[in-house]
Amino acid sequence: MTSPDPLARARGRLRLLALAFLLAFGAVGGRLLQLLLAEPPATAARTARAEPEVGPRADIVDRHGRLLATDIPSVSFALDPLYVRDPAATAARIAAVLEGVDTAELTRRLARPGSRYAPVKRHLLPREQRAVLELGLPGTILRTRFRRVYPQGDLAAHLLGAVGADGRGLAGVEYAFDRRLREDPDRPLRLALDLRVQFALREELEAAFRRFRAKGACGLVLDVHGGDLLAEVSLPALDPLRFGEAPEEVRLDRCSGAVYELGSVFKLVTAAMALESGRVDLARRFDARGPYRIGRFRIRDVHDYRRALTVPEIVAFSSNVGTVQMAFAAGGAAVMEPFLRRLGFDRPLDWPLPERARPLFPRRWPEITVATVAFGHGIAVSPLQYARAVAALVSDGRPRRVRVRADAPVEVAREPVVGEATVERLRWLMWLVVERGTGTKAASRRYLVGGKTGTADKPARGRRGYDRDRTVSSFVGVFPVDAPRYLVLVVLDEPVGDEGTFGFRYGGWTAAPVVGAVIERIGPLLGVPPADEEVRRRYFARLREERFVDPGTGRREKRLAFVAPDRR
Amino acid sequence: MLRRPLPPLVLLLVLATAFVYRQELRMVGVQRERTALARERARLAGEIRALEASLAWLTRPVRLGRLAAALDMVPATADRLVPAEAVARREGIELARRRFPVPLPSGYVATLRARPPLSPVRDGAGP
Repeated sequence: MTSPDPLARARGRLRLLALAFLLAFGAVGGRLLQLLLAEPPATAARTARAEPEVGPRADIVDRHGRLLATDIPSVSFALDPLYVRDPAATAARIAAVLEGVDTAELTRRLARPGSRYAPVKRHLLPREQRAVLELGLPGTILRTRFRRVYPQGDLAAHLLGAVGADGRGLAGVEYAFDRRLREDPDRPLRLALDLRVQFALREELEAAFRRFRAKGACGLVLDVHGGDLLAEVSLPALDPLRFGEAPEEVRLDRCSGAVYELGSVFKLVTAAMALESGRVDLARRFDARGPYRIGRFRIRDVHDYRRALTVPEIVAFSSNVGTVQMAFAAGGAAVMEPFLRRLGFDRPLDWPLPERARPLFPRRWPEITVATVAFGHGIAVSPLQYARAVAALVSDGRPRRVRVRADAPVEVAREPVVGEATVERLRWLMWLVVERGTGTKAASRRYLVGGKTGTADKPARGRRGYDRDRTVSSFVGVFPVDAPRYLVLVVLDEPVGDEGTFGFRYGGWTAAPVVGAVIERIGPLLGVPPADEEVRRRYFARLREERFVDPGTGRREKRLAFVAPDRR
Repeated sequence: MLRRPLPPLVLLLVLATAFVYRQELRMVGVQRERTALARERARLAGEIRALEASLAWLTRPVRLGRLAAALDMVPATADRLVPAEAVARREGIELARRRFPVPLPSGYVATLRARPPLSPVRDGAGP
């Protein structure tokens, strides 16, 4: 066996070595390229985890961009019990510098075997944070999290809702748009709400709520054409930061989450139905001598008119007896039930918020139901639902979806519920209520206001029938009445009359002045010019009135009649 | 060429390793800087949020209403709203709101605005 040539062996080794170097350089070069050209995904993930958490929820702003809800950084303090030798002493030291810390509870938490996390206090103030750091306790955990705050306080609390400790919406806008607020935190959610209008409504409503010692109150302002909810106030007020601790009656949004038998404000719906049916016109009279009997039931007015009333008088003086007859003259149940369904009274309000009370809509329609529904009893709807219907009746007859978000599309029903002629007459009737009827306290010096008063007895507790001592007083107003742009509705739950109202708790005495004051305040803010004298004259020209003394009662009364434009 | 290849190859390997190490070190530094900047950004974003919340709290309608009352200021009434046609020198006011770009010989484009009238008044209510 011959030994191989040493030179050939050396060359072979050199080739191997060159190959090894080539591989090594290839690896180094590859790694270099990797480092220079692309960031390794593992490193990117590590960096992202190291970044502090950005605000988890988007801001909520009003239609003009005013801040309603935002997240601000807040520090929470906790301890790792593994590092705590004497739980009782540690808890005592902490309680000495932090308010609201339960020493016994904290001691128990710190002494819990196997625990590595004992929460002490959330939302530390800067001075509290400094005090905790100065304690120098081993195992101190300070975590910065975002806390939801509402800079406007409780101004729009019921509409905005609240957020739970887990950062998820619990009610209102916070709940309805929870996903949008969490998934797109850099873009504020713009509401249709107008903070200025909200404030004006809140001030006026709260003053009435306190003055009449009401159990609750609701007020709202709707843009008649766009369906924008410009303001919504529910009282008693709710602290949005203590949502969970508030009792149910405080948490309740009375505008959309509660239903009421609204009483005489419903006569507008009956009047619209009657006029639209074509069987009733403004010149028609109905015998208003009460009581009106249906089987064993008797329907009365607040005071007996002892004469026939015209349709304008029935609406302006709010006659139950006249309204009932008007409803029957229009066609009774066969007309009323589908009419109310088309206005959406048979189902919960279609809007994005979870506060959607189911209306109490009659299942059967005997005569007595038609009669009571005609003047707003026997049917219970939410104030917002009612406002939406009236907005349709005074605009172009077509209901609109209530808009909560400013960027939501305007959704209008295809088919009008009433025609133009009915809309025009209804506006005049509403004007008459404020000018000569039960709603004079809603009149404005600058605007032509239309409206309707309502006072409904509440269902009795523990027995059938109604309780005359507990009422729901309301007023719905629109302005300017000749071409309505805004609707204002105020509902007072169980108001108590005072000296200023001579003890009366009727809607005309309690709720109407609130609506008048709100209109005076928000009109200029919303850029509504004062009433044109020509329009005022045109409205008065359709009215024929005559004052007389009732020989039976000796009271001064007035007769009101509509003068058709072509008969002037 | 391959007579004594080992020393230069080793040298090259050492240099390459040093280069890689230097790059890694720089990358770690950049990552730290990036993390610190992200933290700073988040802190400043939080501060901005807190400042915006404070501003909203300080300019809330309830407070402004109280301040306005203390300053004897009254809300504007509807009487203050007049049709645009009733405003005297309206054309002048509208002209003053417009901006006119004027190209200069240097190539720079300056913005020109007309001077507004000194005291816009209603027709017949002033000089």
